[in-house]
Amino acid sequence: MRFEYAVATRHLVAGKGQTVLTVAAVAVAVTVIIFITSLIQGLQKRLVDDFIGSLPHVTVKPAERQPRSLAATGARVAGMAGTTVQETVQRRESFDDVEKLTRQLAQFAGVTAVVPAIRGQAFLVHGAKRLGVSVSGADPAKQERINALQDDMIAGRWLSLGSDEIVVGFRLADEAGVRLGDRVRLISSEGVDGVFTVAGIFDTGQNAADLGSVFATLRSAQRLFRLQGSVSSVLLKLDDPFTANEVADAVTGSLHHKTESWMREQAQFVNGLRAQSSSSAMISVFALLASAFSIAAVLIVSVIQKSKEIGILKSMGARDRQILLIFGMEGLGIALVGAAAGCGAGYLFLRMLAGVRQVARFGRTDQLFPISFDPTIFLGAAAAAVAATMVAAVLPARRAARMDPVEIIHGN
Amino acid sequence: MATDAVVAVEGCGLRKVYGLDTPHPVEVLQGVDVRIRQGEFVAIIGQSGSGKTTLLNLLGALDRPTEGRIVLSGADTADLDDNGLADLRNRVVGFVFQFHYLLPEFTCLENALMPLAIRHGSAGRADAERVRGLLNRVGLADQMHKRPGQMSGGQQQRAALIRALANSPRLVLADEPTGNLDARSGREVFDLMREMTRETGVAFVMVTHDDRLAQAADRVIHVELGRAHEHSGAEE
Ligand SMILES: Nc1ncnc2c1ncn2[C@@H]1O[C@H](COP(=O)(O)OP(=O)(O)OP(=O)(O)O)[C@@H](O)[C@H]1O
Ligand SMILES: [Mg+2]
Repeated sequence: MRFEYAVATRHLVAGKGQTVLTVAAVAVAVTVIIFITSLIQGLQKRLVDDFIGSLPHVTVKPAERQPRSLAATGARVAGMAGTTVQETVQRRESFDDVEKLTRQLAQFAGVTAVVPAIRGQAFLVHGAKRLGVSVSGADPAKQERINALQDDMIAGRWLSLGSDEIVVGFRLADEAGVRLGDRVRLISSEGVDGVFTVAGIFDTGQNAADLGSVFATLRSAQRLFRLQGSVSSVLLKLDDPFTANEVADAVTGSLHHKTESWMREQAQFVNGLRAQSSSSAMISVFALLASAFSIAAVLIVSVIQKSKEIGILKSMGARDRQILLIFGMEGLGIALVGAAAGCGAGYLFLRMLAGVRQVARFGRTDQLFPISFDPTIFLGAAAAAVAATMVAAVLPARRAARMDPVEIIHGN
Repeated sequence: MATDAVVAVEGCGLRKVYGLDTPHPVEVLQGVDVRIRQGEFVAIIGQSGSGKTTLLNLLGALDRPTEGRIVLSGADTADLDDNGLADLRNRVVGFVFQFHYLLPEFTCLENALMPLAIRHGSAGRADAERVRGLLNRVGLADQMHKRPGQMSGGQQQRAALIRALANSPRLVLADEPTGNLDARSGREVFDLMREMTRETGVAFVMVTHDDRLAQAADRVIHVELGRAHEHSGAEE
């Protein structure tokens, strides 16, 4: 072992240019993998946070009691406003024993928040303005677990919302000419109406929500939608959003309620994420391939250059295995030094990018590149590069081990 | 010459055919018998292409005969696998080639210690001391820590000679060891080889094209037309 190690290290030190070239090939591959994976992972985390941040991961709804044809219902009321048809069907179902259901749902693995809620359509009336809005009713402290509205409040308050108060998006406030403290009327799709004080205004950054959403307490919503003591849905938040399908299926399986998983509702978005992940994996694979091929090429040349040395070592009694070990160790040396250098370079590179700021809303600055410093990415990139380099080194090493000293010695 | 001295290597009925798997196989050796004893200095001569190197490689267990037996230091090479042959070479054979083939990344001393490193991982203190003594003996005291690239051809060949002797082998096989040197350093290396043979009692076989060097050997084997003929040398 000491002999093989000595020969391998001398080869690497003496073969300056070749060694630097191969080490650089490994380092570049590792840097590329770390960079692309960290960047994509960071971007995805931000995208997912921004996107699912305001969505329940799983929505539990009552199963329809008897199969009913929506088409038939629609046909009967054909000619009437579309939303009314929808609401007429939805309103029929609700959960009555909210406490029991909440307890049951909290038992499912991965569930971090259970929020009984009511969703419904209404008109917001202020002076001559009459705007269609979607009303979400839930306990503010609980609703906060679903979409962290508190961070988005630009005026007024939200967590201490009273039952005669609502919060609205800033675009809706603009559109309706409503200011903080103004009183507005809500007329629900059930025909119930009520007067509320605008206690807060939010800016989520999403136009649809800022223009069309009103948040109220659960009690207000129950009154507006004639659901005294019951709710129309229960919203779940999970510790891992990407387990939404499994949790939804488990809930449907054991409680027989209807469930919606954000992953199924937002299939486009999920597919987009998948496509992004697989392109980053592809880039990583190509980086590894390119580095492995260049290393294999350099090592094969070096083995051919050293064939006389190999011949003389064999004539002195070096076994094939010892020759294999020498060139294998050279590959390993290149791999380890290259991987370490690549991790270092990758870290510095990410540090640099993480420092780039961009201007965000309200004069705050944000990271332009949301970089995730994940040690498993570094370890994974290093391990993949070491494995690829060793595979690339095997062919030249075996070629060296199989060289016939007689032919080498005759061949001069 | 004492005929009852210990036999270092013996070849019986050696045939060697190259290119057996090609349409035109070449039979280089067609039945050669040789016996080399401990302490002998033997020269092999013959025309270019006659099979001298081929014979040397067979005697040193670097290659296997197509037919015939090689008994090297008491071991029949037919009984050994490739690893067995490698170990046998390491213990009982030293090679010297026309182009010395010192490893360029190692110093003169490290090169000379290489056979010990192959066997033990690295050379022990006592072995290193002995090899140092041998290098001093051939005038390389001030070259020990130089790389081959910084040494003259004659110095390199002397280092290669000591490398061949480092494992205290039974048999040293030298293929045109002076072929690449000028007459003077060739003669120097030759004289050193003769002296080392006498001092160490090793069996020394040297292929050469130089008749005068061949005449100075104990025996001369002439390889011709696939066979070997004995001449007794050193008659003057
Ligand atoms: N590996 C091989 N495959 C096929 N033919 C070979 C091989 N090695 C040697 N030969 C042939 O065998 C013959 C003997 O070669 P060898 O090297 O033993 O001759 P030599 O006597 O050492 O010659 P020289 O004095 O030129 O070194 C030559 O004709 C050579 O071409
Ligand atoms: Mg020859």
